[in-house]
Amino acid sequence: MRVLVIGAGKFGVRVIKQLRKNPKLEIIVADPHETPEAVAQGLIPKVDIRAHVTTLNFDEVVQKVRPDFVVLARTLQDWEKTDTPMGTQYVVGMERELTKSDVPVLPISEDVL
Amino acid sequence: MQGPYPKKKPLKTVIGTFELFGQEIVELSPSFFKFFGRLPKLVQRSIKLTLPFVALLLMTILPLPVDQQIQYALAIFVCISMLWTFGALPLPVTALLVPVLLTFYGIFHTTEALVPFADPVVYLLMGGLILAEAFRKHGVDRRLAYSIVSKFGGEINKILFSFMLVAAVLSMWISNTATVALLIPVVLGLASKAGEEKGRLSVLFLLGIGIGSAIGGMATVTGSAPNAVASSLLATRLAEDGMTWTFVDWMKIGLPTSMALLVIAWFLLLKVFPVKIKSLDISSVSKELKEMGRLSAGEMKTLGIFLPTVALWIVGANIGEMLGFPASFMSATIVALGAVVILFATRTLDWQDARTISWDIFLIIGAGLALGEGLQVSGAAGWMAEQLISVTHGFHILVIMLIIAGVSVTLSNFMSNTATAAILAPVLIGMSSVLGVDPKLLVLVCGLCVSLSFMTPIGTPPFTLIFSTGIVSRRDIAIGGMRVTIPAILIVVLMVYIFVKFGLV
Repeated sequence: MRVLVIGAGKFGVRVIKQLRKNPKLEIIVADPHETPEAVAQGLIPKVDIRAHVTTLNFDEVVQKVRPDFVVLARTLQDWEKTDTPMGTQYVVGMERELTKSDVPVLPISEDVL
Repeated sequence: MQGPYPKKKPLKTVIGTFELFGQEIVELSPSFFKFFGRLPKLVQRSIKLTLPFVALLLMTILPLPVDQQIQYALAIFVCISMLWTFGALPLPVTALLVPVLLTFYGIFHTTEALVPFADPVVYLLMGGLILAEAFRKHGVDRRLAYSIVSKFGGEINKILFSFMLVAAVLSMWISNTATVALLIPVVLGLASKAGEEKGRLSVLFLLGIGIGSAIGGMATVTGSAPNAVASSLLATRLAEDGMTWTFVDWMKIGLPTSMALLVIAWFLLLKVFPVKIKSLDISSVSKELKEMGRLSAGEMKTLGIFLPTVALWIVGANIGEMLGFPASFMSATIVALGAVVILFATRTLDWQDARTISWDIFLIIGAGLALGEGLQVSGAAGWMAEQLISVTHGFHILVIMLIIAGVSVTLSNFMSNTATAAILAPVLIGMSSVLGVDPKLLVLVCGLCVSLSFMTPIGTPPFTLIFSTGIVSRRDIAIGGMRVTIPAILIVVLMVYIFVKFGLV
């Protein structure tokens, strides 16, 4: 089973660690940074998809990866956009739009882990 | 950062970096900014914080050939303007400095200096923002957006217009930034279906919603904070002549101007950012609308409060008069406050929701009004007006209005729109008295033109947000903004001139 994890920051690290407990899962990680937290910690050797995934390129990424489901592992703090005015509203709106995809998308809240 | 549009000509004059409001910008700037941009951040901040107070001190002690009260008010004006421009302190903190300085220099007593912070227009805007929060919380804004877009069909020009219209309509009542934050994911989702053209289409759509929101915000007093500042100062000035200036009066000029600008901006954006693709499948929008189902209880409560509020903003004074209510009971501000109470009483909102509102804007508006009154009372506004008139002596009023529009747009592209209106409006009121012209001619041009700040990513928060997506480059914003701004200035000036001259407002 292929899982696309969007976000490899501090929150993504926790999500990847949890998913790795199931060896049957093939984890593909997307993040805009070259050495996000997951790479810096040596959890993954590199980011598989280096892109800032938004509604603009989500379908493209999904088509390329063909995951069985997608995990949104970005906290608000992982988004640089939250520094901008109403950035939080923007991020929340973006996550909401992404969950409408035909592929199952699981937005993980920090409370879950 | 490079957008999807290839550079036709290199911008040779782009040579420096500078920081305003915490945003590093690269603009058409002289070598001074290049030098300044290379200084350590701490040194930059120290300079930006020190210079305004050095100017304050110098202007206080230097023997200027003006009355002492005028000199002190000018010193405060220069200091606050510099602080607001440089952004060395947060804008609301600078706002708090206004009453401190006005009382220190003896221009106002404490109460006089603080009264503008409780001006009716401050509460009107507060009511508008809380109503907007109900819109956001219950998804009325999303439903409205999807409804309008789905009605227009899938041709690119129609989609663009529908997005701009949605942005404009929402911005008339809710914050421009909130509107853009809501629409960005939607427009990008739709643009993603454009294949190779998705980059170009994203730029077109993003600029469309940014410009649409700015233009829509011009239509009502609650649409954006600079309107509130200009409207309040104008109302105070007109009251001296026994005239009134109401919420509806602003709409009489704001709404038609806004709609005219929307059409022009739409046309120009299609010309400036052409796309090869002619249509898009918008079935996802219709599907989303269908999935929303019928109006939820929250949406119904929000609309049930919002629609009568808007109706009362427009015809409340007439109804109040018919029913024999006290004259100010049905004023726009009291209606807004009543609506807020009902929102909470019906549990449409709880106080936690209200915490998300940008409360800092009320301090900035209050400070703007206090500064304006300080300039008027001290005579500094009149003195500055006389200096300006000596420069523009013999010019036709239309030329003066064009100059005011140009100055307003230029300043607001680099500093807060509200602060720009707060700085310019009092001077323009003084100028209108000296020139013997209707103050509406000058103040409305300024009040409306400060919203045309879409040539830089720091012009307004919505453009900062659009720029932060990483899809639109500074060049796209500069080119798109400039092409729309120049005709927009002409339209605003002509509309204001015609409306005021023919007594339509």
